[in-house]
Amino acid sequence: MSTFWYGILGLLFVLYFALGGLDQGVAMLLPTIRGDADRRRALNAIGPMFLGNEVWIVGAIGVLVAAFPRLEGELFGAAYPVIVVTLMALLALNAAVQLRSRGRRRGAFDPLIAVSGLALALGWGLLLGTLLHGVPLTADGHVHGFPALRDPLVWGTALANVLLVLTHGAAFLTWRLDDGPLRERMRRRTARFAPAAAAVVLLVAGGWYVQSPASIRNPLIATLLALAVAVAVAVAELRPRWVFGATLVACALPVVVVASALYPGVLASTVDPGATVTVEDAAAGGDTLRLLAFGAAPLLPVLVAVQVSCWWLFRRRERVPTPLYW
Amino acid sequence: MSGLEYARLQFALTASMHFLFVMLTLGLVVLVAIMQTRYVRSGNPVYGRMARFWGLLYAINYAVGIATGLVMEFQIGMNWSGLSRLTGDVFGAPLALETLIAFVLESTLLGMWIFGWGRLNKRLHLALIWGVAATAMLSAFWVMVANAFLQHPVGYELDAAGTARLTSFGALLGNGALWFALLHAVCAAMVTGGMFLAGISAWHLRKRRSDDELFRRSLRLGLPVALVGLFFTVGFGYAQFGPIGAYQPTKLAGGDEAVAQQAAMVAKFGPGDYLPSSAVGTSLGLMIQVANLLFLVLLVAQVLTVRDVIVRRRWARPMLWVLTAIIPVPFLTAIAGWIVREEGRQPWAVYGLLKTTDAVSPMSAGALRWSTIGFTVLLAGLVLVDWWLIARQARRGPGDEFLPQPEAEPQLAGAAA
Repeated sequence: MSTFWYGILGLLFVLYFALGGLDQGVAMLLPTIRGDADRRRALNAIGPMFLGNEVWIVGAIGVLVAAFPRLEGELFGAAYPVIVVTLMALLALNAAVQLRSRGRRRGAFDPLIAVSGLALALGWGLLLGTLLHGVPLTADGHVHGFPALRDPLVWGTALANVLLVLTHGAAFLTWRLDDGPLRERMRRRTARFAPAAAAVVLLVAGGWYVQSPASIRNPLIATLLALAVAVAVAVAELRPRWVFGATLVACALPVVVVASALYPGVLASTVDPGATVTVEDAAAGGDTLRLLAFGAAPLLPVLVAVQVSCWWLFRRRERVPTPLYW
Repeated sequence: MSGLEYARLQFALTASMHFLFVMLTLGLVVLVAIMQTRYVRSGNPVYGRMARFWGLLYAINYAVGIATGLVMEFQIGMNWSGLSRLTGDVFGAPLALETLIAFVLESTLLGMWIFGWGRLNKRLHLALIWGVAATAMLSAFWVMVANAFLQHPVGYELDAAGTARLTSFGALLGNGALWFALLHAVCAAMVTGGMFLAGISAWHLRKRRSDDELFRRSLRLGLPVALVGLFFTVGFGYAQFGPIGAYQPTKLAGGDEAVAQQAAMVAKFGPGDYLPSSAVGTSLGLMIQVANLLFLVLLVAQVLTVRDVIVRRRWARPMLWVLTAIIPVPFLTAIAGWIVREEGRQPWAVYGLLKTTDAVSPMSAGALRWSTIGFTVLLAGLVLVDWWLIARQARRGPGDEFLPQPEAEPQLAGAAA
């Protein structure tokens, strides 16, 4: 049962990294778009999906609290500064995107939107890096200090995530926007970001392979998956729809890479191998997991179906002039 | 200040700010859904404009509501790892159900509703707003299930390691600390939504700006909802005295009884101070007094709406001013209510099971201080900006919010991607 819920947790994070990454990517690209009208077009292109994209992190943390309560406490403690900054960025991005066009000075929110997008992509990348690096977890079950944040590879992982997300945002806008100069610029940008992202992913994966901290138990599977990320993101010359599909996969895969590298561990200790938390240790009791399995799991397909129908209902590419809410 | 105090302050501030938004969200969404139903059924465009005008205010309010809610969810793991470690199995289940089967749906549907004006089929679009309303209520339900467990832990057993394990989900749902409190909160949300409608409508009717009809109808919808809602809020408020006396004898104890309860708790749980601060009694008194006064005011205002006396007669018009002035009252009263419920639970995080001092994360006071300062500044800033934008939009009155620009429609109907 704990493995099942670990899978669900992974699925929720995968959905968040793929869909939330889309919001972050568009947010980061915002200041590079000149003119308020074009910025509004870019934001309205994600409009109907934005809230749906963002809520997956809420679902993921909800499952973390319920199914892996001990992991949540220690993971957040292990990366406290990162979590604080990421969370601040998360709420700033959500509020700023929704409020930007309600006031007179729309542009005033744009730096906040861009910085939040960047901080989020960096923050989630740092969290993945911290997991790969392992944390100073002692036998008393608590984490002391944040040495992972001094490891350049952890920052390299974060940079890789930022580049993936940027490519993703540009690919989405290329697919979604109406023909015109803005779309053409986004297409060129996708083609430029994609190889850079692929190169950094490969470099970082190689770095982890060489350094091979004790936390990484399945280096081979992880490396293969990392390769898949690089390949997925490198296909930048296809039709926009396929490129977007590829970046969607590329943004989601890092979650799978990290989870499979650590499995069956989730939170590896760098100071005491015995203190490493495995999926089994972190999980809640059987009754709770069964209750969640009966109460929540059957509804997951409903959630996914509602979101799919959202993409379907709003599948039309935006045309100019277009209804602009944001 | 100690780490514990920072952690408590941080959660209290976030939860209070969050609830200010939740109340209006919960109440207003039902009212918007009613307006849109009338619009779809009657085809009268004034209801469509009503639904869009109030729906926009609702959406602006939601933007910061979701942000503050996110912070709360993370804070449980960040600052209260003792709580998730010991009782996460039980307390986490309703929270997970809330996020997954209520909140994720609510936000997805809301996004579709906002961007669906003029683009989706009318009935489908109406179903979306009712879906938002239903999932919002479901959210409130699960959150109160979790909160009721903190007030009165049931349905669990302690295992050998001292961790609470869920044994009966039915007991969680049948918790005596749940139902009256939930209904009390939902009715209070309807009061908030109704008074928001009435207060803003009254402002426009007083200024005679524009759209007299829209605001008259809004006033006639908002006032009775607030009045009836308040009646039930008060009823479900008093109904809670029974369960509180039974489950939390220290909460409202005073005088000799307080001394006796303190002695009984010391005998049971060891030395310590088991009585909550005096803020609990003060807040309770305030809440009750304000509610009574408010009921009178709303009743008079309701009587004055007969044949639009409130708008037509000079002598009755000051009531319009009063209705606008009292928009903040339900918010302040709700904070008082939460102080009674949460501060009144101290020194327990989970009543009789886990003390607040044992629930806090072993984080340095410095880390907690900086995160408290950071979140408070950011949240307070967002709250103020949000309220300023709501006020601005409310003053400006109805426009063509959410609608596609007229010239866009022929092109929109064109080819799919």
